[in-house]
Amino acid sequence: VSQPNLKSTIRCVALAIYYHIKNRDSNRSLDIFDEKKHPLSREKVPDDYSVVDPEHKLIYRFIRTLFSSAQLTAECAIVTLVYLERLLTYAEMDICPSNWKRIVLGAILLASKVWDDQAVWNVDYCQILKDITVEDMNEMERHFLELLQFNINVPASVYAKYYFDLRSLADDNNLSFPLEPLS
Amino acid sequence: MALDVKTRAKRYEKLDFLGEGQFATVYKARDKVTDTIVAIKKIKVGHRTEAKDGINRTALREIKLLQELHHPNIIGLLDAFGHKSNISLVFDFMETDLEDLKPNNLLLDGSGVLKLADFGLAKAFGSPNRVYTHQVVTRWYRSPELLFGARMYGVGVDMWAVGCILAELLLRIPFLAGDSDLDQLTKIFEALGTPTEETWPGMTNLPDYVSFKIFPGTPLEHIFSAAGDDLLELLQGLFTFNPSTRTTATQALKMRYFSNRPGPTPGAQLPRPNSSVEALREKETVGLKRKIDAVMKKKLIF
Repeated sequence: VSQPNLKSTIRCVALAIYYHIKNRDSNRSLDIFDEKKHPLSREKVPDDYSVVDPEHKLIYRFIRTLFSSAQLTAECAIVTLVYLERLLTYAEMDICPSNWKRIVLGAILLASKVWDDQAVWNVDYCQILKDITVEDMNEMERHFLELLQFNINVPASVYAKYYFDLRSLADDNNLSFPLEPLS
Repeated sequence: MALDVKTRAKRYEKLDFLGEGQFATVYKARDKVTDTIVAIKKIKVGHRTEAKDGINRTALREIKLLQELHHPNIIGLLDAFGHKSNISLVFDFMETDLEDLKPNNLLLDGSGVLKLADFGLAKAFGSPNRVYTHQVVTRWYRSPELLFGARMYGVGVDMWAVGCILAELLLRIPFLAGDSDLDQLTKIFEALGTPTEETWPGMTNLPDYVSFKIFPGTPLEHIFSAAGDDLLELLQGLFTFNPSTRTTATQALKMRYFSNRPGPTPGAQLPRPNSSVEALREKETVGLKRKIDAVMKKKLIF
């Protein structure tokens, strides 16, 4: 069975996140995901950090950096989206400008930990995002898992649904999602 | 909103210490919500790893697999909760002690139904040509292809482990108890004979292959002198060196051993440690002894 194309999968996942942020009805959040309370960078968090919706490109770049540095797979990107949406449902919160980066980071960290054979340790993310601490990553992971009530399984049917939903999202937005021959 | 962690942990009342392994401690506890007895497996905090990698990765993978698998012969995961960087898994309580197949991970429930436990290293069976890590399966139950560093392996590794478990049931001690990977291979070849490129094509190309002294091996009927022909035939199939011709689960179940008499003891009639059946039998014995004592006394008197 072939893997989905990495670049287009990440682009689609970023687009799905972009729409989640754009189409939210409110700004329910939790402190652990707030970028001002837990900054990801030493640079000053801009005053409008919680107001301006991120562009698709910005979300894509953020995810792509993490995926290429940690050598994560396309499957992992799809599971990232599953965990992200599950978190929003279970914790009854919205993904918004103030929390999207940390939510995405938490979902990627968990997806790679649970599904990837090649181990990326929590501490390795501190090499990619230079200013974060491993203690912060561990604490965020703990919150993420508890909010999911440890429901981390992704049945094949759910995975397939997300895969095909991402394909149609790509179609609707004129993004390419090349089919590759089965190996 | 998710229940906070303390509330979830408080749901269980610790009753008894059940056992301790390398990576976890197991307690007997009462679930206050359902008023049932459960087993709680608390994953040990590995200080150095934990600081660098947060929540135990193996425990998370075990949780994921147990949420996926629902089968009468697989232990049921009832709940999981965390406290600080600790993580605890809640299971159906099993009367015997709590991926890898070894006797310690085979549990019997109150009705004598066998349950597999400990899925920390188990993985979904994906494309057969995917590259896997070879550091799986407790050494004594590890197949020769894993010991030679094979990265592409299949269900054959589990069938080898099944062979080792079956052998252990017959011998009452581990069959091939190597104290290093090389010693493990030596023990295997001493018992079963050193394989050759003819009996196991591709062996010499495995990543960690080293040539061994040629042992002739001991006929299985000499090692397992109490086993019948049908059982020896099964063992022979499970201890096939070439993984691609090794007996599969489906093939094994069709072998004579599983249809020949005597049939298996019904689960509920199996003897169990501290079970009601055994306790009852003990009582009976005690009763009988008293009667004998009484008779003896009488005899002595008269």
